[in-house]
Amino acid sequence: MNLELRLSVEDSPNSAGIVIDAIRCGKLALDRSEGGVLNGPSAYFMKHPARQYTDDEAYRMTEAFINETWGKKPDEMLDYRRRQRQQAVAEG
Amino acid sequence: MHNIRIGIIGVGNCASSLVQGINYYRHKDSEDAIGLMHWEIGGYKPCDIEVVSAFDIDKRKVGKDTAEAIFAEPNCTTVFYKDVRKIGIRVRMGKIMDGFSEHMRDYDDKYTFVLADEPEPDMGEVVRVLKESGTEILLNYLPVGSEEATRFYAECALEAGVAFVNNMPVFIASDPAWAKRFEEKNIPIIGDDIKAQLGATITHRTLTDLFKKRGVKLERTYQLNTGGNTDFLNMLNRIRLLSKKESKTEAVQSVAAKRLDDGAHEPGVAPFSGGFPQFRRYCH
Ligand SMILES: NC(=O)c1ccc[n+]([C@@H]2O[C@H](COP(=O)([O-])OP(=O)(O)OC[C@H]3O[C@@H](n4cnc5c(N)ncnc54)[C@H](O)[C@@H]3O)[C@@H](O)[C@H]2O)c1
Repeated sequence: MNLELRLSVEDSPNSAGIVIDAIRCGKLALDRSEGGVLNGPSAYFMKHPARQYTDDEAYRMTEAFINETWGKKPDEMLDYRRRQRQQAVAEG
Repeated sequence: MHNIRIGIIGVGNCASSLVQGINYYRHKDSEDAIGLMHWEIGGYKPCDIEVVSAFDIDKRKVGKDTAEAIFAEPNCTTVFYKDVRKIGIRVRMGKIMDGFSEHMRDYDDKYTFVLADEPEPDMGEVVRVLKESGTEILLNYLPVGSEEATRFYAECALEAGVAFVNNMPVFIASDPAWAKRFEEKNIPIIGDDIKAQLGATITHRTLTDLFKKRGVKLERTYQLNTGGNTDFLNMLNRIRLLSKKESKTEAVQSVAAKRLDDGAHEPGVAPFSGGFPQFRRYCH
């Protein structure tokens, strides 16, 4: 098997949306007084994070970071999601 | 909830796209916003980001409003949003250090960095600006190979208590000693070396991962990048390229079923320009 792929992109706009997401994750950490390396966002948004994960894993970690479910036990996550849904319903 | 106040180190092509993007999203909504993971993250929309400080060393940028500096030469990226609001934030002179490579003098001003002859700030001055401007997150967009300069600005972020997003391949977040310092001060850091939305790295990683999942044995793989902007001109100094090469190689190696032998994966940067549109990058 031999695969050759040619990709033509414009670099700078290609990174802008990702940086906008990274900035907002950085701000979330500030709001939550979390410091140090943000592992999920670093693995998802960056080529050379402290620790590499597959992009699927990194995506899930970043989602969990955003939703504050990272590191929580499964039952706590269910509880968290339930509360979020209730809040969304209450807010219409 | 106030805006997210960012500082920019290096008002080059990427910073230009970022600032244009923030303005572009002002006129969009969640339905037609492209290029983002989510329209809203933790209640923040893309347009809730505001530039409050910026540093550069090019005489066509230093002293200008950031909204103008992003369109100054040698920036050559596509202008997809030209009506960027002037924000009254002037680009300040940065500390040059190794941000400027001597070989950059050999090219026409249109393509290369032209040093401003303003006095350079020391760390105290940069920290003062970061604090007084209310900068919360500092973005590093320095040229590849700016080892000293990146460490200088990372040190400024630590000193000012400002979060750091390291978009280029000098290893800060992935260097345990630096990571520890950010942790000790409880300052968030994201890094290193931004992975574009759909560029060579993510494509190469995804294919490598697919090979792994489908049981295909990957024997050799390469990535050739060709481009014509200042990022590529700067990388003509091969010594500066080492960290970029490591970053790109590791990004692919880390998702391979089995690490490839040295030389079995090669990211390469082919010579600058040669008739390519100035801003475009071709990857093979
Ligand atoms: N998709 C992408 O474009 C992408 C992806 C990954 C990494 N990066 C990295 O992001 C960085 C920025 O890329 P770019 O295309 O904007 O580069 P660029 O050459 O257009 O911009 C670099 C800017 O830094 C300024 N500068 C140089 N030394 C400085 C100093 N000491 N202090 C302050 N400013 C200084 C230059 O004048 C210039 O304006 C590069 O290292 C690049 O490799 C970009």
